[in-house]
Amino acid sequence: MSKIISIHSFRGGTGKSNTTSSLAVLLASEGRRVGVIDTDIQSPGIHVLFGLRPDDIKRSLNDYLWGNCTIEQAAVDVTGNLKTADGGPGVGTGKVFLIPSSMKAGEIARILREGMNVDLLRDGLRRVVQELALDVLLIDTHPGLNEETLLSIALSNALVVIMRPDQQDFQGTVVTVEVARKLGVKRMMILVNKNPRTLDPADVKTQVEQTYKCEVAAVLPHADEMMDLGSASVFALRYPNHPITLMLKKLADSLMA
Amino acid sequence: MIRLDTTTANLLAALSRLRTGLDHLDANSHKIVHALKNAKVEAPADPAQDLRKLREDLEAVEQSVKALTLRLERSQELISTSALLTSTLESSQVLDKVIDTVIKLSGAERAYLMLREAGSDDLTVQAARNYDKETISPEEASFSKGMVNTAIEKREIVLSTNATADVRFADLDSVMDYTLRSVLVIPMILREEVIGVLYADNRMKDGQFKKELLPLMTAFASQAAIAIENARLFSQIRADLDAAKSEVRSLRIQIDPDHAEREISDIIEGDFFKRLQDLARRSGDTAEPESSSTSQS
Repeated sequence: MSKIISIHSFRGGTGKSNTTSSLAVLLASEGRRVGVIDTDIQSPGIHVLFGLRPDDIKRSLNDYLWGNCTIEQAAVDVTGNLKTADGGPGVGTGKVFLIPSSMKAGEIARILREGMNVDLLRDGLRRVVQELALDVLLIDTHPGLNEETLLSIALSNALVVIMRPDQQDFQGTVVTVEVARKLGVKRMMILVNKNPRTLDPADVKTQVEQTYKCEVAAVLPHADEMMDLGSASVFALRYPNHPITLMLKKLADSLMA
Repeated sequence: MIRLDTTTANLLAALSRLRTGLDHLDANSHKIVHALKNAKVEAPADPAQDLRKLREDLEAVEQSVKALTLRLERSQELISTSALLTSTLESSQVLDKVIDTVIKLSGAERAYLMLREAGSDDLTVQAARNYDKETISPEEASFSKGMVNTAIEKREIVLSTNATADVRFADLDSVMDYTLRSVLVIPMILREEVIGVLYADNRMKDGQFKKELLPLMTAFASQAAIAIENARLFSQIRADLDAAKSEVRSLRIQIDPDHAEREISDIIEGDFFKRLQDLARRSGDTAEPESSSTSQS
């Protein structure tokens, strides 16, 4: 059965797109058909990680929402862009499709002005899973809790909330977790990202679990390699044996279990 | 580096050949003087005196070469010792190397390395080994504290060729109790401060340590002091680094529950949210919405 998984954080800069792209690669490397939809329509960016330049994006989620195309027509098969460090195929027999948001400033302004038709988005999310025969659809959400994000969460089988051990994230995450509970999300996990070396990950895990009464999937350390990569590639592809990749692999397996 | 063994051997062999030549010359001159006497010819001068003077000069040169060779050998030992001491920053290894080198350079039976603790005048034995590089236990340790104190107070080497007969130490019980013979105590001075002493002795043999040894041992003690200080600093830096690494902060999660409650209410009280709840309820994979269960601290 297909799954819809939302990857969300209350604030920007938590590493949401990096995490989503790595999860997509790790899920696809098991032979799955994986869709990634960028609903961060105000500040899109995940396409960069999948090797797409703005000019490569002919149709986008915006076009679908304005009735210019079907949702599956907005999907781009990025599997060929996913290469291992030595240039080999990155996801084996799996497939990764990206439904990008528009990078054009005018189109971003228009969607901000007119708002997003959440009913269309709901239909699109369901349709793309069927039309592309996806095993899993990952939704890279917009930070905060706007209507699109709430819809994504409501339609998801699982929600991964990413937070940093940061005071502003603590406050925002409690709102996200509580609202998601009220929407009846079946499975919710917190992923603590960019944990500094000075914080004991086991202690962080315990404290976050106790505070939010929510499973902590992993506490990912701050990694210089991630900074060095600078969104030039998917982390799990560039560093397949890095501890962060191995922790994300466990999370991917857990999400599909 | 000069190959002292071959250079010295060549020089001494050349001097030996000169002496042999001198012997031949001496013997022949005797024969010539004797023949001249038989021929009733008076020799203009007796060459024996000149030859004797030449022989004395040759012997003096030979002694000088040997003395120079010894000094060169010790200088080379000092250079190799310096390299040895700086080859490690592990404190225990440095201390053992210092002790073994003291024994090697001086021919001591035993050697002790004593250091002052930071901010204290008290000395503690940091390493003690014998000629066979075996560690001397604290129970076996037997040295003259009085001689050590003398070296520290005077900031100079204390050398005794036979301590039991040395009037300078006649009132030291330890000298008699341990029947100390050859004793050498060298203060280790770093930046004008005595950081410790090197103590070497030989309880079986008088006169083990010669005065000629002192410049070498003084130079070595200076090197050893630097090596020990470097190892100590390295150890301190590593300890500080480990402490910094292990100084893990504890996470403090602070949440404003009233603020969170207001934000949640703003979101869930609208019609849109109720529609979403219905949508979620109709979806087969979502659970029933829960009531608030987040703990806030």
